[in-house]
Amino acid sequence: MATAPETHNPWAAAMPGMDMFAQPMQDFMRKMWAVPNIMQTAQQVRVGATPSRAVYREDALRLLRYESDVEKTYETPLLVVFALVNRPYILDLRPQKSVVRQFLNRGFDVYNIDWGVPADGDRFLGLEDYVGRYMDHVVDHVRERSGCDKINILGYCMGGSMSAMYTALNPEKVRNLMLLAAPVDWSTHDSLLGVWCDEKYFDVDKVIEVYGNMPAEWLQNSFLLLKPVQNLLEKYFNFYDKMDDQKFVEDFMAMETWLNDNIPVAGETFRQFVKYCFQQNQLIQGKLEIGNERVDLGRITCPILNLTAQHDHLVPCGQSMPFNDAVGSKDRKIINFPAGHIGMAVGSRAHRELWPQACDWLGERSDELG
Amino acid sequence: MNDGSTSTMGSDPFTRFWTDMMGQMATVGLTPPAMNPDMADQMRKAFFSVLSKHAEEFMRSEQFLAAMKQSLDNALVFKQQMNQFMQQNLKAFNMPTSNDSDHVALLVRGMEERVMEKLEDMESRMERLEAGRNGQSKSAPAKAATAGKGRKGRR
Repeated sequence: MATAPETHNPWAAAMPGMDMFAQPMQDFMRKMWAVPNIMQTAQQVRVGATPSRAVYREDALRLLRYESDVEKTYETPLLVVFALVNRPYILDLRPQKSVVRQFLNRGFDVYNIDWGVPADGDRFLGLEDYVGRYMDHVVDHVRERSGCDKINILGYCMGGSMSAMYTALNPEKVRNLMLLAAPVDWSTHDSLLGVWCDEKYFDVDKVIEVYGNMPAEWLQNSFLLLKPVQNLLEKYFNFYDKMDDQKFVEDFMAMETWLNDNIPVAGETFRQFVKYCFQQNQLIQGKLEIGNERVDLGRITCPILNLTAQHDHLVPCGQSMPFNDAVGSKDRKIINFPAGHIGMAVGSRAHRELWPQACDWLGERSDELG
Repeated sequence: MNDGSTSTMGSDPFTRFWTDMMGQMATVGLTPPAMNPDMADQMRKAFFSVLSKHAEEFMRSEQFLAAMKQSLDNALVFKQQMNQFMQQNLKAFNMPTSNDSDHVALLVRGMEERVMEKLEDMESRMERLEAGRNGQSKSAPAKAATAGKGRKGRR
């Protein structure tokens, strides 16, 4: 950032104490000059940095395949599975902060599931539909397209839990499984979300009976309230400090676009996830049933890379780490990275240090072309 | 969440908050002789950090959780009454209600499940038949060889 020009203020010379006010005033004026630029940036903000094409559709779901000029090096494709509560473009938010690009640049064929927005009539869609049907169809489609028997999966947040469930049900279709800030053990109440979802205070059956799908506004406000001071105050003070920095404003607007782009969750899926995972913690205990099949994490034998965030307020490490002890895999690794829940996907440090490691890990365990 | 660092347990929340904030400011060197141009920034950071900690503590408290439950219950009752009111009105005008569309959705889902079950059943029967046929054709030469020994062998 350019330093402020020296003050040639006659008042300052006459009254040295005026300096104290002159500098903040100059800063304020400089920031005010930046306001039209900020408005323009807000209107032109672009999210989803990498071109993609929908190669498969089923109901509201779209399977995106990313396009890249980089020559493919690996035969085994990578399927990214994101949560049902937000849009999946957080993993491809900006060109310099795109997890998708990290893998594309290493020569992977990358696919991403866009679950779409559930309509009112989709309130009866449960985990058996999302995990047992949609995900299975998508995986089969990717396998067929690539000609591979097994594919790589990267699951983020709730998408990670769903990927773990899927892999436990279909171990023969997954070559490597990477989880990113994915909860599997809800026995601890380190996260505020866990406390709020306690059945003593939150009657999920009643909420879904009345609302049908879980409204997006509810989810968004709950996430905001998890860190009220940061999300409602500190963020805007920081924005004021850096509002004359064009790159910062662009990143800020892109992030705000994503944060305000929540989608409702199909009622039955939300009910099952809260009840069986948050409240009864069935997944890690091997008691969860999807359709009529029990989800036994011990059936997972493929290599595992579990990426956890040290400062995650949404999915504390304690909810992710037990996964590695629950699976039957011998090749399993945890990277506990100093970042927050979203910082793992868009943080500069994560893109400098974490994702190259993750790409190396996956590359060593994937089939090369030719 | 209280780590026990505050020694004023039992005093009112504002005093605890204030003591925490002043304590944190002292740890970052905001005592008067060490003041620097970034003082405002550091004060702000210290203030937000302590405010954050106390906000989280409050949101975990029984008092907050009980209030949250109460407001959630009220919101649900209100929404339920609104739903009922809308349904009665729509019924009066002979219009389909959300219950009707749910009913249709469930019927379609039920039918889809039955059709899928039938298809899966047919598929597995086909597979069994094909496996049987393949098995027959594979063992056909052997059978042909034993054919001369009489029909009994084949049975």
